Amino acid sequence: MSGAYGIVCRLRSFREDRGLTQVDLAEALLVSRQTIISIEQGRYAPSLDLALRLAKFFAVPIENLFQLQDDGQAMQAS
Amino acid sequence: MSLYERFQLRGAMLILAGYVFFVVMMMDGLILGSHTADRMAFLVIGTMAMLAVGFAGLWVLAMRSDGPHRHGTPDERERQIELVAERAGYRLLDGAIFVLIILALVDAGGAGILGSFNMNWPEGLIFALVTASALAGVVRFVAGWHAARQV
Repeated sequence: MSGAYGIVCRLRSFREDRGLTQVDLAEALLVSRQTIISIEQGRYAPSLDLALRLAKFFAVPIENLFQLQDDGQAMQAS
Repeated sequence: MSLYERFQLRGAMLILAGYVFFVVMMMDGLILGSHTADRMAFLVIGTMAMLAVGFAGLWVLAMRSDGPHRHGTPDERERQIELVAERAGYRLLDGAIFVLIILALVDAGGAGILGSFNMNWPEGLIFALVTASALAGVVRFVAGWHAARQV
Protein backbone atom coordinates (compact mmCIF):
# COMPACT_ATOMS: atom_id res chain seq x y z
CA MET A 1 0.00 0.00 0.00
CA SER A 2 1.47 3.37 -1.02
CA GLY A 3 0.43 6.31 1.07
CA ALA A 4 0.43 10.06 1.32
CA TYR A 5 4.04 9.98 2.51
CA GLY A 6 5.32 8.39 -0.69
CA ILE A 7 6.17 5.17 1.13
CA VAL A 8 5.14 1.73 -0.01
CA CYS A 9 4.12 -0.32 3.03
CA ARG A 10 3.78 -4.09 2.98
CA LEU A 11 2.96 -4.44 6.64
CA ARG A 12 -0.51 -5.80 6.00
CA SER A 13 0.64 -8.70 3.84
CA PHE A 14 3.36 -9.63 6.35
CA ARG A 15 0.86 -9.50 9.19
CA GLU A 16 -1.76 -11.54 7.36
CA ASP A 17 0.82 -14.10 6.23
CA ARG A 18 1.57 -14.74 9.88
CA GLY A 19 -2.08 -14.93 10.81
CA LEU A 20 -1.90 -11.95 13.13
CA THR A 21 -4.67 -9.48 13.79
CA GLN A 22 -4.08 -5.75 14.02
CA VAL A 23 -4.72 -6.00 17.76
CA ASP A 24 -2.09 -8.74 18.14
CA LEU A 25 0.49 -6.61 16.38
CA ALA A 26 -0.49 -3.46 18.24
CA GLU A 27 -0.18 -5.18 21.61
CA ALA A 28 3.16 -6.73 20.69
CA LEU A 29 4.59 -3.35 19.74
CA LEU A 30 2.82 -1.33 22.45
CA VAL A 31 1.01 0.94 20.04
CA SER A 32 -2.68 1.44 19.43
CA ARG A 33 -4.61 -0.59 16.89
CA GLN A 34 -5.43 2.66 15.13
CA THR A 35 -1.72 3.25 14.60
CA ILE A 36 -1.35 -0.12 12.88
CA ILE A 37 -4.41 0.65 10.73
CA SER A 38 -3.00 4.06 9.78
CA ILE A 39 0.39 2.58 8.85
CA GLU A 40 -1.22 -0.15 6.76
CA GLN A 41 -3.41 2.36 4.96
CA GLY A 42 -0.43 4.63 4.29
CA ARG A 43 -1.89 7.50 6.28
CA TYR A 44 0.89 7.48 8.85
CA ALA A 45 4.61 6.99 8.31
CA PRO A 46 6.06 5.33 11.41
CA SER A 47 9.16 6.65 13.12
CA LEU A 48 12.46 4.94 12.44
CA ASP A 49 12.21 3.37 15.88
CA LEU A 50 8.82 1.80 15.20
CA ALA A 51 9.78 0.78 11.67
CA LEU A 52 12.85 -1.01 13.04
CA ARG A 53 10.79 -2.69 15.74
CA LEU A 54 8.32 -3.88 13.10
CA ALA A 55 11.17 -5.26 11.00
CA LYS A 56 12.62 -6.99 14.05
CA PHE A 57 9.22 -8.40 14.96
CA PHE A 58 8.80 -9.94 11.51
CA ALA A 59 12.51 -10.81 11.34
CA VAL A 60 12.93 -9.20 7.94
CA PRO A 61 15.05 -6.31 6.66
CA ILE A 62 13.27 -3.00 7.04
CA GLU A 63 13.16 -2.42 3.28
CA ASN A 64 10.98 -5.51 2.93
CA LEU A 65 8.33 -3.71 4.94
CA PHE A 66 8.81 -0.13 3.77
CA GLN A 67 10.14 1.33 0.56
CA LEU A 68 10.16 4.73 -1.03
CA GLN A 69 7.53 4.81 -3.74
CA ASP A 70 10.14 5.45 -6.46
CA ASP A 71 12.19 2.46 -5.33
CA GLY A 72 9.10 0.26 -5.34
CA GLN A 73 8.23 1.28 -8.90
CA ALA A 74 11.80 0.74 -9.99
CA MET A 75 11.80 -2.75 -8.49
CA GLN A 76 8.53 -3.64 -10.21
CA ALA A 77 9.86 -2.38 -13.55
CA SER A 78 13.08 -4.39 -13.32
CA MET B 1 -14.61 6.17 16.16
CA SER B 2 -11.46 5.16 18.03
CA LEU B 3 -11.02 5.49 21.77
CA TYR B 4 -8.49 8.25 21.23
CA GLU B 5 -10.91 10.23 19.02
CA ARG B 6 -13.60 9.83 21.66
CA PHE B 7 -11.15 11.07 24.33
CA GLN B 8 -10.50 14.21 22.26
CA LEU B 9 -14.19 14.92 21.74
CA ARG B 10 -15.02 14.31 25.39
CA GLY B 11 -12.16 16.62 26.38
CA ALA B 12 -13.64 19.40 24.22
CA MET B 13 -17.10 18.81 25.68
CA LEU B 14 -15.73 18.83 29.21
CA ILE B 15 -14.01 22.19 28.74
CA LEU B 16 -17.14 23.57 27.09
CA ALA B 17 -19.24 22.38 30.04
CA GLY B 18 -16.80 23.96 32.51
CA TYR B 19 -16.91 27.22 30.59
CA VAL B 20 -20.71 27.25 30.45
CA PHE B 21 -20.77 26.69 34.23
CA PHE B 22 -18.34 29.59 34.69
CA VAL B 23 -20.39 31.88 32.42
CA VAL B 24 -23.65 31.05 34.17
CA MET B 25 -22.08 31.80 37.55
CA MET B 26 -20.50 35.06 36.37
CA MET B 27 -23.46 36.50 34.52
CA ASP B 28 -26.28 38.48 36.00
CA GLY B 29 -28.94 38.20 33.35
CA LEU B 30 -27.41 39.44 30.12
CA ILE B 31 -24.68 41.50 31.77
CA LEU B 32 -21.55 40.52 33.60
CA GLY B 33 -22.32 40.47 37.30
CA SER B 34 -20.34 42.13 40.07
CA HIS B 35 -18.45 39.68 42.24
CA THR B 36 -16.01 39.83 45.13
CA ALA B 37 -12.42 38.77 44.55
CA ASP B 38 -12.97 35.77 46.83
CA ARG B 39 -16.00 34.59 44.87
CA MET B 40 -14.18 34.97 41.55
CA ALA B 41 -11.16 33.09 42.89
CA PHE B 42 -13.51 30.35 44.13
CA LEU B 43 -15.21 30.20 40.73
CA VAL B 44 -11.98 30.03 38.74
CA ILE B 45 -10.27 27.53 41.02
CA GLY B 46 -13.49 25.53 41.41
CA THR B 47 -13.99 25.30 37.66
CA MET B 48 -10.37 24.25 37.16
CA ALA B 49 -10.69 21.64 39.90
CA MET B 50 -13.85 20.26 38.28
CA LEU B 51 -12.05 20.07 34.95
CA ALA B 52 -9.11 18.28 36.57
CA VAL B 53 -11.48 15.73 38.14
CA GLY B 54 -13.28 15.38 34.82
CA PHE B 55 -10.06 14.73 32.91
CA ALA B 56 -8.94 12.25 35.55
CA GLY B 57 -12.27 10.49 35.03
CA LEU B 58 -11.77 10.42 31.27
CA TRP B 59 -8.30 9.02 31.78
CA VAL B 60 -9.56 6.28 34.09
CA LEU B 61 -12.30 5.50 31.57
CA ALA B 62 -9.69 5.12 28.84
CA MET B 63 -7.48 2.95 31.04
CA ARG B 64 -10.34 0.64 32.04
CA SER B 65 -11.58 0.07 28.52
CA ASP B 66 -10.50 -3.01 26.63
CA GLY B 67 -8.15 -2.89 23.69
CA PRO B 68 -4.61 -1.81 22.93
CA HIS B 69 -5.11 1.48 24.76
CA ARG B 70 -5.10 -0.23 28.11
CA HIS B 71 -1.35 0.41 28.49
CA GLY B 72 -2.44 4.00 29.05
CA THR B 73 0.43 5.89 27.49
CA PRO B 74 -0.01 7.57 24.11
CA ASP B 75 1.97 5.98 21.31
CA GLU B 76 4.07 7.88 18.77
CA ARG B 77 1.18 8.56 16.38
CA GLU B 78 -0.91 9.94 19.22
CA ARG B 79 1.99 12.08 20.43
CA GLN B 80 2.27 13.49 16.92
CA ILE B 81 -1.44 14.27 16.95
CA GLU B 82 -1.01 15.93 20.36
CA LEU B 83 1.63 18.23 18.89
CA VAL B 84 -0.68 19.26 16.04
CA ALA B 85 -3.53 19.83 18.47
CA GLU B 86 -1.45 21.83 20.93
CA ARG B 87 -0.12 24.00 18.12
CA ALA B 88 -3.69 24.75 17.06
CA GLY B 89 -4.57 25.61 20.67
CA TYR B 90 -1.58 27.94 21.06
CA ARG B 91 -2.37 29.69 17.78
CA LEU B 92 -5.95 30.21 18.86
CA LEU B 93 -4.77 31.55 22.22
CA ASP B 94 -2.38 33.92 20.45
CA GLY B 95 -5.19 35.14 18.21
CA ALA B 96 -7.62 35.49 21.10
CA ILE B 97 -5.15 37.56 23.13
CA PHE B 98 -4.57 39.77 20.10
CA VAL B 99 -8.33 40.26 19.73
CA LEU B 100 -8.58 41.10 23.45
CA ILE B 101 -5.83 43.71 23.07
CA ILE B 102 -7.65 45.31 20.13
CA LEU B 103 -10.98 45.25 21.98
CA ALA B 104 -9.40 46.77 25.10
CA LEU B 105 -7.78 49.52 23.03
CA VAL B 106 -10.98 50.31 21.14
CA ASP B 107 -12.93 50.29 24.39
CA ALA B 108 -10.33 52.49 26.10
CA GLY B 109 -10.62 54.90 23.19
CA GLY B 110 -14.13 55.64 24.32
CA ALA B 111 -16.14 53.43 22.03
CA GLY B 112 -17.63 51.54 24.97
CA ILE B 113 -18.38 48.53 22.81
CA LEU B 114 -17.70 46.01 25.57
CA GLY B 115 -20.32 47.34 27.96
CA SER B 116 -20.28 45.34 31.20
CA PHE B 117 -17.56 43.12 29.70
CA ASN B 118 -15.00 45.94 29.59
CA MET B 119 -11.64 44.92 30.96
CA ASN B 120 -11.18 47.94 33.21
CA TRP B 121 -12.68 46.01 36.08
CA PRO B 122 -11.50 42.65 37.42
CA GLU B 123 -14.68 40.78 36.46
CA GLY B 124 -14.29 41.81 32.82
CA LEU B 125 -10.62 40.95 32.72
CA ILE B 126 -11.09 37.54 34.38
CA PHE B 127 -14.03 36.77 32.09
CA ALA B 128 -12.01 37.71 29.00
CA LEU B 129 -8.99 35.62 30.01
CA VAL B 130 -11.09 32.58 30.93
CA THR B 131 -12.98 32.90 27.63
CA ALA B 132 -9.74 33.00 25.63
CA SER B 133 -8.33 30.08 27.60
CA ALA B 134 -11.49 27.98 27.26
CA LEU B 135 -11.72 28.69 23.55
CA ALA B 136 -8.11 27.60 23.09
CA GLY B 137 -8.80 24.44 25.08
CA VAL B 138 -11.83 23.52 23.02
CA VAL B 139 -9.99 24.21 19.76
CA ARG B 140 -7.04 22.12 21.00
CA PHE B 141 -9.24 19.06 21.55
CA VAL B 142 -11.32 19.54 18.40
CA ALA B 143 -8.08 19.87 16.41
CA GLY B 144 -6.85 16.69 18.10
CA TRP B 145 -10.03 14.88 17.14
CA HIS B 146 -9.77 16.14 13.57
CA ALA B 147 -6.10 15.18 13.29
CA ALA B 148 -6.81 11.73 14.72
CA ARG B 149 -9.36 11.18 11.96
CA GLN B 150 -6.91 12.33 9.28
CA VAL B 151 -3.80 10.38 10.33
